[in-house]
Amino acid sequence: MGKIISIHSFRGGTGKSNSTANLASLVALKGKRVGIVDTDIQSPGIHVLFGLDEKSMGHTLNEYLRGEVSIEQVAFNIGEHAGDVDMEGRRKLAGKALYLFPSSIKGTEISRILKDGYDANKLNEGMQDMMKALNLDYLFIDTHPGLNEETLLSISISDILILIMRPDNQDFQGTAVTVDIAKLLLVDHLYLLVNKALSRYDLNHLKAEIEGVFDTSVAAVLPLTEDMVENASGDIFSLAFPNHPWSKGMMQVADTILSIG
Amino acid sequence: MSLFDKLQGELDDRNSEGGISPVDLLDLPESLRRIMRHMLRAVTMPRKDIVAVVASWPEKDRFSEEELDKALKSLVHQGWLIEIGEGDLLGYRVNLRRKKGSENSIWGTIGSRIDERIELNKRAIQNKPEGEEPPKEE
Repeated sequence: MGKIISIHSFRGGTGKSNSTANLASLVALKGKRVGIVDTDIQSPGIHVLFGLDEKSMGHTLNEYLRGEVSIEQVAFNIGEHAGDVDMEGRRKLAGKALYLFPSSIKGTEISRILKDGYDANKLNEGMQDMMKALNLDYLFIDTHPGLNEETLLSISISDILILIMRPDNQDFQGTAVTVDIAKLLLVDHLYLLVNKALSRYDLNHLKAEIEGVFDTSVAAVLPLTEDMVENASGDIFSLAFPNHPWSKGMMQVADTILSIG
Repeated sequence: MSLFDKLQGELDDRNSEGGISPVDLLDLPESLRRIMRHMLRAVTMPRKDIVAVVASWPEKDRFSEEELDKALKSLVHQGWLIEIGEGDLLGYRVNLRRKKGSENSIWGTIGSRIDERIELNKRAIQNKPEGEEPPKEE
C-alpha cells in the first residue's frame, strides 16, 4: 500500500504549496509514482506551480465531490505534459509518473462547495481510490492552513505529516497546538519543516532549539531567500536550481520521506 | 446512474445528520482511534482484519474479541460506523459526517451574487446590439 503524506501549516504563507510541489516532484524524479491532491478547496494554488490554469486543468476535485466525474478523470498527468514547457525545472518531470488532482479555481465553484458542503466519505474514498487506480507509491495532500475538519481528516489518514512553520512567535504557538493534535491522531511519522529562516541565524542551532521545544524531529531548516520570491511560483524551484541551499534542504526532506519503509 | 437516483442520493446525504466528524476521533480512547485510522484507510474493513490488527498490538494494549465487538457495536449504534455483511463476511466502514455548507454565511451571499452577475451578463450579451460591450463590473 502506498504512503499518504500531508503537508500542513497552522498559518498561511508558510510556503506549503511550494513545499508540496517540490517534494512531490523530487520524489517523482526518483522514479516513484506520485499523486498530489489539492484539498485546499477554498484557496487552491498548487496548480500554478505546474503551469496549469482554469482552462488547462480539466476536471476538478469539486466535480468529483458532486458525483459528476470519477476520481481517475480528475487526475492531470503532469509527466505527460512537461516535455514541451519553457520552465527548466518542470521540463525535468517529462515522462515521470506525477499526477495532480486539482481543486477548481472558478469563483462560482469555490463558493458553491463552501455553500453546499460535501460528503466527507466521498473525499476519503476518492483519496484511497486514486492511490489504487494509479498504483501510487506516494500521495501528497496539500491542505488548507489551520485546524478544520478537512485538515483533521487528512492528518487521520496520513502515514507521514510534515508541519511547516516559520521562525515566528505566532507560528510557534499554532504549530504547538497542531503537533499535540497530530500526536493524538497517532500519525506514524511526524516532522517539522522550518521555512524562511533568516540567513543570519545559525540553522543547526535553530533546528536543535525547535526539536527541543516541540519534542519532534525537524526534517530541515530552509533559508529565507529572494531567489524563491523571484521564482514567484513559476517553476519547481528545487528542480530548476538543484544546487541552491533551499533546494538542498528540500532534497533532505525528500530523502527522509523515501527512507520510511 | 439516473438523474433521479443522483438527486435522491444528494438529498439522502443532506438529510443525514449522523456520522463521525474527524474532531470526534480526538475524544475516542487511543485503541479505538487506532482502529478508526485503519478503517479510514481501508474504507471497508472486514471484522477478521480488525481482529488481526488488535492481535498484532503489544499484549498490554490488546483487548478480547468480546470487548472489540462491544466497542464496534457501540460505534455502530452512535452512527459512527456502518455494519456491512454478516457472519464471516461481516465488515465495517467509517461513516464520516457530511461537511456542512454555510448557506447563510458570506459564501452563500458571494455565490448568489456571482450567479446573479453571470445571469445579468448572459442577458446583456443576448440583448446587446452587434459590437456593444456587456455592462462593466461594479
